[in-house]
Amino acid sequence: MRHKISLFAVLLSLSTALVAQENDKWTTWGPGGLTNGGWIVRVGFVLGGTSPLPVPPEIRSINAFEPLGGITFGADYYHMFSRRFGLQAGVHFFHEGFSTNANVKNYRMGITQGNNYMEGNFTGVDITNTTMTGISVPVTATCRLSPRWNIGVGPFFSFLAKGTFDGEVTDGYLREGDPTGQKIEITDDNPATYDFSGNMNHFYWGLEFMFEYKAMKHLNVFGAFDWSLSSIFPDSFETVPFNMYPLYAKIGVAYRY
Amino acid sequence: MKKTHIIALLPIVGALQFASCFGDEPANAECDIEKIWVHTDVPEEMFFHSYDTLYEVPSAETAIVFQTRYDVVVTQMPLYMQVTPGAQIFRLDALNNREVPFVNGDVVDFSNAQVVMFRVHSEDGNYHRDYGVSVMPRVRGGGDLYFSFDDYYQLDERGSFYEWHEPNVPVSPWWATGNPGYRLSVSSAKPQEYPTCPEEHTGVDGKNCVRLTTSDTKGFGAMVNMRIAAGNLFAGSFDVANALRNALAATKMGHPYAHKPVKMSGYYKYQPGATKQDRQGNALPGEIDYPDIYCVIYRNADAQGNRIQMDGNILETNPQKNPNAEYVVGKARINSEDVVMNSSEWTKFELPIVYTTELSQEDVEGENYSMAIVFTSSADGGNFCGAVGSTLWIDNVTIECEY
Repeated sequence: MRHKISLFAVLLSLSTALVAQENDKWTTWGPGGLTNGGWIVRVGFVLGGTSPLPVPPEIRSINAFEPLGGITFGADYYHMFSRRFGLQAGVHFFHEGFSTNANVKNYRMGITQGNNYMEGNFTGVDITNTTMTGISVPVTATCRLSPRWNIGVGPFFSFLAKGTFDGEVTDGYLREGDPTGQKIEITDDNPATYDFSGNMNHFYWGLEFMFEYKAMKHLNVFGAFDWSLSSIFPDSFETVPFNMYPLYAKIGVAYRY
Repeated sequence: MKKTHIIALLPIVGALQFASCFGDEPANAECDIEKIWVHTDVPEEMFFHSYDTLYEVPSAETAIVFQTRYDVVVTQMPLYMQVTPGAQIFRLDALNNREVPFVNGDVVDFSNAQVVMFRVHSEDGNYHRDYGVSVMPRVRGGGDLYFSFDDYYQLDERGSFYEWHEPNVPVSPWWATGNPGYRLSVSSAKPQEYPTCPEEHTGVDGKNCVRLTTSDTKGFGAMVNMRIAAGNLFAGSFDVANALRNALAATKMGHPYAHKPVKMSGYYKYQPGATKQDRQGNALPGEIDYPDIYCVIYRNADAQGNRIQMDGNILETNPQKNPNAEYVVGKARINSEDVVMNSSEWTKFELPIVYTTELSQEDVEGENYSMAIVFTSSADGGNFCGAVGSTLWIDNVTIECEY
């Protein structure tokens, strides 16, 4: 019996010691006082694209994919309500884009020049360049998995200051109006270009999934995936018949005050 | 450091892009008759050329006519079609409003010049096109031709631009223009703003005439390096499919003609535009634009009986640029130095057709030659070189024949 008690005492004191040591870590890496808040200033790369989800059958294959630009910086304020749970909100500037070269079949599209317009179904190669520059406001519920690892999820709201969506079609033909319309050959000796930049939405929103790793005392490494739930084109814009969702991954470093 | 980040992220991006797999290839939405042909044991008995048994159908066309020798009594023939892969062909029974499946090789009754209707349904089932197929004897016509341009012009089915439908010609429509190509680049143009349009009450006889104007193709034309469109009117057909790719190939020059023309005459006025430009849009100071008026007779089949179809390169004598140059047998062309410019009066032109080859009457009457007649407001317009605003008015054109 005595043995048992003494063993219990030993175990108790040992675990108390471990918890104390763990508490030290949470304090060392966390905000002082565990439920305080603070500022994070971050900069990172953005990679990704704008894609229909799911990819429509009109897009047969992607021949090339090339990110254009891709930078984000901003500041967040975070506040921990408990040792594990908190909220983080900020303002992030972003400049992101991509270029794709895809084989398409019977792809609905239009070509605009001034007040002249041609619309129809294209079969051939479509090269698209998209860039988006603007401000994003993420509001994220965070969970501290361990002293050094944070994950979070929450909505983001993006305001597009400038967006471009342009490209060219080549190596194929357009059926004017619909698939029964007259065929117009468009080949690489005379490609045709299009520009839907003026048709883009200036506001969209979605969900951000993020993580942060406290690499040094004041330095975080972070990553995030922004999954937009609204299309870059309004529903009234019929030339691109499916919704195009921005999907971007970010990775970078942050300074934690 | 930066590079490693990007490389580390690439798989993520790839996963994003391909997370949703590409679905099955969609069924074809097109429903064209691409080629159509009839079978007859001795084609030469029924047709002037064996190539007349096969017709490659331009995408915009739905009226298919096989043209036989003048005196052929057509009854029934096996018919074959090549349609968009997956598409299905039906006979349209107008009386009972029924669709009857058609199988290649089915014998079709073409007697009494009836137009047999077919409906092609696309593989995806969402679209269909109706075609009328007939077999008709060709019309030889009386030889001399006269075009007053007072009438027979109308808007196309969209109401975008004018086209001419002359009666009493062996091939109809006889006249073609580049207007369908201009519509692709300047869809906002009004009918009277097209390069080729009728002009009323200003003709040499106070009636109507044709006005050809070299026009700016606006931003879209510049994008495909086709900054201008010369006004043109020519005996032949315009293949819109090639309009943005190769405009010279789009102008199919000439119709079979079973007479021997010897002279082309008529009236014109010409006003050159202010600044001539080259294909890249650079001004060519000091150069004055000039029009072209010509008639070319060419043999329409090679020694093996294959069809010879001249295009916008018809005047090119270099066989590298015009592989069909050797088939030209006769030509009449206005001399650019003789063109009367900036006159408010009409000028008469009379151009004798000079033959470089002696034609046999039997060959001519066997429809072995085609005749192209061409008017354009910028002679080098086929290369997109000319002056915007150059205007050629044409009226009362006559073709005189020896037989």
